Amino acid sequence: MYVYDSYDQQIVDQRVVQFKEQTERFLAGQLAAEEFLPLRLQNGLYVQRHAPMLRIAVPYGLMTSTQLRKIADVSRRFDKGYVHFTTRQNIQLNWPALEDVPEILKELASVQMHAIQTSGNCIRNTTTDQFAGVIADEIEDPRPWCELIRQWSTLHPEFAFLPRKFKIAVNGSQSEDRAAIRFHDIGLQLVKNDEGKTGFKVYVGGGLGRTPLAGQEVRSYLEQEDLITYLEAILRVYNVHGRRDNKYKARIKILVKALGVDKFRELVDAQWQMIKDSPNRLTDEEINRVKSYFTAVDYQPLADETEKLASLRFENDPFDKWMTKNVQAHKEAGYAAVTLSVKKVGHPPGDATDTELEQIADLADQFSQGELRVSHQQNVVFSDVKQSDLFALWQALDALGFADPTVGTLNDVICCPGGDYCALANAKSIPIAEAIQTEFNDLDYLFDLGDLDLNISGCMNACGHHHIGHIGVLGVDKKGEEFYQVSLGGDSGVNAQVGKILGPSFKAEDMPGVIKKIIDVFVESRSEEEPFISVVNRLGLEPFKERVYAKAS
Amino acid sequence: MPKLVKNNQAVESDGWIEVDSLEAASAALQPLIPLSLVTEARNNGLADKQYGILFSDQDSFEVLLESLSEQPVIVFKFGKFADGRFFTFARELREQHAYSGDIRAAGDFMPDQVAFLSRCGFTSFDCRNEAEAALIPGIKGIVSNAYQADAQQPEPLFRRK
Ligand code: SF4
Repeated sequence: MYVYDSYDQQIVDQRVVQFKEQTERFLAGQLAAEEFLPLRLQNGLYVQRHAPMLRIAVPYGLMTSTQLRKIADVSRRFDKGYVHFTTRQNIQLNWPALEDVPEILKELASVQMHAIQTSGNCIRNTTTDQFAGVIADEIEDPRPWCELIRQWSTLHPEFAFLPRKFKIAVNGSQSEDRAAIRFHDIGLQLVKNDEGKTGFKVYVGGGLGRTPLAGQEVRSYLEQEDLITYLEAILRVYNVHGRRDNKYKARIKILVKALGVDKFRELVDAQWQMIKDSPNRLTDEEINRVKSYFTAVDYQPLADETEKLASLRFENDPFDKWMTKNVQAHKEAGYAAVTLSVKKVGHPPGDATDTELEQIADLADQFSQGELRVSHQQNVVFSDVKQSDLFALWQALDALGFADPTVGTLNDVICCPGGDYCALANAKSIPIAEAIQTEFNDLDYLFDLGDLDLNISGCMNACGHHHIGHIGVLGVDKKGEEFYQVSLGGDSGVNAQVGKILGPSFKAEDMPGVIKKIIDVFVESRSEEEPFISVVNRLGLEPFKERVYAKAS
Repeated sequence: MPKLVKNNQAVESDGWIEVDSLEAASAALQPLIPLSLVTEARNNGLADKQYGILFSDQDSFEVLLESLSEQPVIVFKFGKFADGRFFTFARELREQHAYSGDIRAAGDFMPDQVAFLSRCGFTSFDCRNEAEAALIPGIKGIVSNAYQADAQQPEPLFRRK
């Protein structure tokens, strides 16, 4: 993984000093609250319903065990001893005291971490596939490109006061899109051109929130050296033309939609021609320098353990289930990638205690070269586990409660903090997740249902990505009462689509029953092993509506 | 007490004053003329006089480019500090239109924005009050290096190290 050189370290260290000075001025009454606001947001600090919340950047979700131990330590010393993994691969502390934040940032900087641009109207953390670099069907590892974007976007002088926040995602896989690039302000797909040269297909204007839209292709092939200048051209067009009069219409998706993608492309190209050959154009030397950090993983020449694993699976049903759901094939023979399920019934999805973080860090050292990743599904991934260690790792995870074989199933809920924690919420989301998880607690049944994304947001801001869940749940407010709207057919992958609303919303207590009916229709209608999303696409919403809204007879 | 910062120092006024009419423009020695009045002022023979352009957040950048000649100063007057367009406009003036005069920030901007404004090509800062002007020299350089190329530093970090 990328390791800071003296320049990277200096920039992060100085940013800490800068924020300390700003905080002191605010606390001394020399900086107005509304002016401190963008400054603290640019450094990841929100003030939520109950207390400040600090969002720590985990660039493209990748971190070391040392960094994770530091997070555990910080959460214990400055917070209530637990953290939250977010859907954007970052980590949040929920209750730090404002006075302590500069000290926390200093601690983080000591392990090459920061909170720069994790919030505010600026370019946010770039995200990617949690299996980047270890899956076989990749055009190329997207992480070096994420790192190049991280450096370019960090403290960019021109784009710190954009109309609205700005999110970029990169995907390298040819067959799948685990990074949901079509639902980002800019989505970059690594592709090869006719001559076999690697570059990017560029999508722009995707996003969730009040106006969910899939991004549109603005360029079918961009040379890799042109990445930074082209991004700069897009951002410049957005910074000048994006709406600033209405925060709900300020995202780039609204601009692209209003202009049409062709007109938008014209503006970008006109700007790009001016800066295309500027010194910002990437050099092979720099690309190779950054790439070298990601190719340095120390793989041993191993053989696949197919037979041994097969007999272990045959003898041990829980291990077999875990292998099916939580273990991913690896491009290197003899290795596998493992997803730790960090979701426990009754706890907010993605929450982990300081002790759990340390346990995970120890296991990462023991089993996965001291590195781990945060996934969009708010789980943790060990990307480089030897197949010969899988059984031992499973036993260790099982003992700690991280081995639920539910990854990708209905119970692997993506859920925002909702009304229990978030000031903007219309409704609670965690108790809904909990009620559904309890309704579907039969592992065999869950398992048979196959891959199913259930996403829950507590309001239109869509932090729980409800639009792109196969089943999406949105908290709405009806005359002061909490209700839930259900949508079906959302898809964050290559077939990017926004779910369609089923009909009138439901009360909280009815939700498990509603989901049960939807699942029943699916089970009755599916051909063997057919995934949920394909049944919804095939049948449309009608049969689901009929069942869910049937009058009790 | 000065509230203008120029060359990283708080200084007394350098003579430029904002005007809001043609009469005031002809009366002033060094007027900053609102962009909407510049064409008219020129037609009225003001072209021989030294003047600067006052650009407000309602003005069009294209019109500014059309009006650009040898003016020694262009003032971007912030209506809201969160309006980031001026950062881009200043960079474009420097990098794409070879403007080499003074680019000044005025109106509602924060001292904490001065570091980025400078990197985008701003060279003087007409602050909201003296305290802010006094603060700027101390905080502007806290972060002393940057990844990107910008109006001050033509090469990105990766070409410099
Ligand atoms: S979706 Fe709404 S309720 Fe949930 S975290 Fe985001 S803003 Fe809060």
